[in-house]
Amino acid sequence: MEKRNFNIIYSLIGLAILIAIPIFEPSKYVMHILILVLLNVVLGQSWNLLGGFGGQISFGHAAMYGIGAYTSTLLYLKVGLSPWIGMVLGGLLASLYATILGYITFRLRGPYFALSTLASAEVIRLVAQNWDTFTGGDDGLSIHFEIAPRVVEYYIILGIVVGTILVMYAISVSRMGYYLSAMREDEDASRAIGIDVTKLKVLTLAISAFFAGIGGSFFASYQLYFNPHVVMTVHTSMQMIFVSIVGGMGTIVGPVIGALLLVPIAEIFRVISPAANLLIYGLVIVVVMRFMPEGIIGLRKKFLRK
Amino acid sequence: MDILLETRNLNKRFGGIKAVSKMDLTLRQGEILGLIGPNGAGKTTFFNLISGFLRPDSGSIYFQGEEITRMKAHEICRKGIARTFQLVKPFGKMTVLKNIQVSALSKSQSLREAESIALETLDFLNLLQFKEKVAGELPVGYLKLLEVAKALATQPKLLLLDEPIAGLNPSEVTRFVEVVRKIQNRGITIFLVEHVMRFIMPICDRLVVMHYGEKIAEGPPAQISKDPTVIQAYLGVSYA
Amino acid sequence: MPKFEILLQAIVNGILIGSIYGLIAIGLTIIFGVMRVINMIHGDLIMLGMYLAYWFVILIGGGELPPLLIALPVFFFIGCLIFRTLVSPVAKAGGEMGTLLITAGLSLAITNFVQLIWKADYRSTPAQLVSTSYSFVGLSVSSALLFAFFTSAILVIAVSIFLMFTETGRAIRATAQDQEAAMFMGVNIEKMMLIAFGIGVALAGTAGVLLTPIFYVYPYVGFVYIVKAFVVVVLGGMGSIVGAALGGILLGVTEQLGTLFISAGYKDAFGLIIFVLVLLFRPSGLFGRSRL
Repeated sequence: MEKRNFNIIYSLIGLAILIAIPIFEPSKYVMHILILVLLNVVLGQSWNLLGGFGGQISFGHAAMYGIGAYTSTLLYLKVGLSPWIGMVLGGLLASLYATILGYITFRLRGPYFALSTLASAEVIRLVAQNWDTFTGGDDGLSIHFEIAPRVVEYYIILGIVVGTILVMYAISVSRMGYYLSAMREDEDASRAIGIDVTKLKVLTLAISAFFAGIGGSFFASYQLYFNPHVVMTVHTSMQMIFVSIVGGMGTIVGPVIGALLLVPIAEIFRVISPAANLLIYGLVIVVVMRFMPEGIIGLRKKFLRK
Repeated sequence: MDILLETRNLNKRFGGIKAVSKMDLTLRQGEILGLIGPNGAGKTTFFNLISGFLRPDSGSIYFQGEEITRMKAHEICRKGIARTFQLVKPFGKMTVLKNIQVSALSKSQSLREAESIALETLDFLNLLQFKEKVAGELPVGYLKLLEVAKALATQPKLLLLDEPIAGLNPSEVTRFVEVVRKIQNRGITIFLVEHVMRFIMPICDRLVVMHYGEKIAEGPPAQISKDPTVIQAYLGVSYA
Repeated sequence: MPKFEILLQAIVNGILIGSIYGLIAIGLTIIFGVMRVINMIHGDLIMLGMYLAYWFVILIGGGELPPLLIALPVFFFIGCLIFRTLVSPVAKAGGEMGTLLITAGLSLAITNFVQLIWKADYRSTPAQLVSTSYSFVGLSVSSALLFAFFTSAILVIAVSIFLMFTETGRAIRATAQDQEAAMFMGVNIEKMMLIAFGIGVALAGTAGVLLTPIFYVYPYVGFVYIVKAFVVVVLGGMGSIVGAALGGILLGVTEQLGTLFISAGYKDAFGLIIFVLVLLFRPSGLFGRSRL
């Protein structure tokens, strides 16, 4: 794994600022934007673990996100379980899905793995769409009153972000992190030096899915309404990919930058149309992959080397 | 000398072709065994079978008395067989040191310990000056050495070298001969595949010759070089 | 158990539709076979072909033939352009993953661009509203499907002849089988890949033209077809043209029968499940030789 661009001092300052923001009573809209950015940081970190560190591209993370959303919401609506406990369960269920998927697809390399994550996610989406009695079908699910005030939601997602980043950092400096880098570079060579690539893929998938699921649960508890088209389509997966790639795949600060870019763009183009928004995402991905595959972080690195 | 590795009646087909056929092989501890044969004879396939990258159709493989026939590649590495690849597979974006450090992690739990094993391996192969270099930027000669370094860092008992000197110039080849001797002096058994006779002859204690997937000859290099079956396999013409 | 005629109708429809699936899959499999690129924009090219035919019929009138004849060279050119500017450079730098991501991003861009300019409405050409069907043996077959079947068949045969009997075609096949060997034999690998990509794209665009009278046209329709195309390619074997053709028909028939016996909502799920199953148990496909 390349040098982590993770400067502890800047991070602590940033964290302090983030913690302090609500004191200045910013508008609901600003809080909303911040919450979205933080949510996307979690999602980006999730995808990045598997894709950036591990080199396994997934087009199906929306399924894990969606499973998280549906799990906590259904548990809350049907059984009255607290959404925050539901969130953990949502993450775990998403992990379970990912583990099964991983064991089924472990033999597949690169693009074939990516395609099967896509196919699998599509199956899940179709189930969510067609099983109306349980999942509300196309209409989705809604919660009819606010679960927590916006400020509380803000601190919760902030806490999740901190937790996620700590986990990612811990992994990156551990044996698992090294193994992930090796697997990303060359699977056969990894096997030859004793790495159980199958187990590693499945484990990484499970951890990645856990955070995506938590993100989905949080989204459901915050937005209070969602349907399969919002949380389980390939567009959702592509957004997570955007966040990881643009900032810098395989770094911890990359998804933070990616999220900081994704949300404002979404807001600006929301006025025009969601299609314009996605168009921009697509174009940015194309440009980044063509000219700076290491993302914005990579640009900075190149710049500094000169 | 103990028998370290043994294959019994090993077979592997690809479609209609018998890549490895009825291979019986014994490898003794401490020796350097060379596997030679014309192109397409099945040598790399045989390597892939032993190292767990391919499953044999039938037959068995024993390492230190334990059957490893159905084991996966990473398990076989943990048992003590390490291999290099003919087309080198460095972890391109990582530094040389990291490359070897990851390999060392197979036998060591701590990153620090792995790092010191890696440094020691680099020193052993006279590669210390490259430790911070990005692996992908190394020239071929050093990449080949990196392959060996990675394998050595897993602390193997048996080292499989798959055409280690392909693409090296004469002085690099000479250096490689020294490296192989050093490795043998450490007590590691070596099994290698090569084409270049100038390299094989001086190093190997014994040779096994494969042709069309089968073993056609076995013995010390001097004897093999005069074996008419072997000569015919290479040249396709019978020499008296 | 439905009546025999209904069953037979489903099978016949499946074969006819499957021929288009086969056409699409062949384009995808050529691209994959020659340069190991999984072309995520394949579906969107189909969509663009559909819009091409749609606008042609709406604005200029006439049948399917003019847009068909235009689509072939236009899409070939588009394919070459995309290869040169995006696919080739990224393939060299980032390998399989890089091209996967860049084509995925491009797909996102194309579909949403189309949505912006032409809106998301489902469109259908007048032909769909007044379709002619022929009936024989108690079955009714739409003329559009028949036209699609014969056109697909002709194109598939033409491409096969090209690949098997022309020098360029053989060079392309050599590149697919063993790049290094082909290079030693003097083949211009880059150019062969360029042509192969162009052909693949041309086939996709053409398939779109053929689909216009049969299905609704809308910006995201490509996604549906690319998923089916992947299923077919994997079913038939990556890089195998015969496999893709037969796989397409197999998928078409399976879908029609599945809709009959189970439910329409899950129709698309069959393909997906088959896809994952095949990848797991027979990754070399039902017919093809391949290297995963």
